Amino acid sequence: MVAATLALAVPLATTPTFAFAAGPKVTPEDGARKRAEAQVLGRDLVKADPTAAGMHYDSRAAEWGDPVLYLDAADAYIAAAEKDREVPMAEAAMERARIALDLLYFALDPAADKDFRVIETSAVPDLISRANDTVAKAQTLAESLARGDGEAEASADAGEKKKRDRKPINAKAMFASGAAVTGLGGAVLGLGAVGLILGAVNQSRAEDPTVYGSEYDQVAAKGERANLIAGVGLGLGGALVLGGVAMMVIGKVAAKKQKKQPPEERKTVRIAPALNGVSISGRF
Amino acid sequence: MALRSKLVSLPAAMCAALLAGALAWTAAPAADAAAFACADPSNLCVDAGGAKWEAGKSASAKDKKKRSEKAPGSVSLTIEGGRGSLFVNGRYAGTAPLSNIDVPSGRNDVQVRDGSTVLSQGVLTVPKGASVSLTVNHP
Repeated sequence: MVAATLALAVPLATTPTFAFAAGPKVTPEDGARKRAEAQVLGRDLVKADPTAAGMHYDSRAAEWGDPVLYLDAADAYIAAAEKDREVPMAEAAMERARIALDLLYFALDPAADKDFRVIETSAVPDLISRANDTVAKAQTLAESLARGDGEAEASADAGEKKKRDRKPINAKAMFASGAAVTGLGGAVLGLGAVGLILGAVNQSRAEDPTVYGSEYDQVAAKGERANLIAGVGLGLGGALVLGGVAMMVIGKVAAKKQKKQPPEERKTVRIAPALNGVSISGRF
Repeated sequence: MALRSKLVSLPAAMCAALLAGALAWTAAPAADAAAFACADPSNLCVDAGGAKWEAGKSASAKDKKKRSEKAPGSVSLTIEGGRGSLFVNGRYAGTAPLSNIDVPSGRNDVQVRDGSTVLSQGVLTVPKGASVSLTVNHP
């Protein structure tokens, strides 16, 4: 809607407000002063609302036919087109840059009023170059938006980013770690079992009526220690075994998935003998 | 029977509408071209307003003094086949399409350009209070 309004407003916005008969003399210094005033507000507006900035530059550019302000308007419309993904904004930018080119080439023409110069003639070649760049940029952007490349690129980028964010699992390492953790868990479970047996032995000794006094206290302390070892060992060992088995299963599933991928996408690790020992190479 | 006649008449009506649309579409550009054709070698044609166009000329110092803003005329501009900006008396007047831009009556220097290409240049004599319509052909 804003874009359509803008497109309709082009002829109105590009009509200058000065008369074409001899008027007060305008020098490049006057032009620079007036331009600086317009750019102060324009710079703040571009960040908040590039379309509003473009319209602001448009109206100020039309007052004296200032090519620099038309180029500023074009830049603002390009920013708006990139932000809102709107082709008319890119086309508006292209047209403003072309108006700037009309003004710049006319500034070099002998027919231009010598008493009405808003820019230095020496600045014209650089500004023509800037205007041509802006036209090319706006044109490329308009074509890209019309094709819908932006959205496609954005969604492709998002998809790729998601893929990049999810690091592939090293299946072999996962399986090996799982096996190690399971082994460790088994050992801790064994320790727990030993604690359980020792606890049972100490329990039976404590229940013996011939054991009493300081001997009973020693057996009770040993029994408590054995019970603690049994509790911690069985609990921790069980958890380690469960975790290790889960890691082994994940590793196995990941290995199966990676086998299905094409060879260039597969992450491989090679361990080979080298002159100074072992070399590890692969695709990560 | 009534159902059958509807089935037959509906596709026939659709075909007729499509044919009429196609004919109108193909005929429209020819009509537009006939309406806006400007065959003048200077690429500029005065369509209305009784203004006089002298291609390739420029106003003299005396002409500049004689220009009057007390009873200005107005200029409208259409560019056929492209775009361009209008410059009147050495200053930017606007970018086409333009309607009713005030210009002093008398002999005015006029240039229409698209970037580095001058589409048309000359002296346009605008009568007092006249509404002048110009068409420029973009080569």
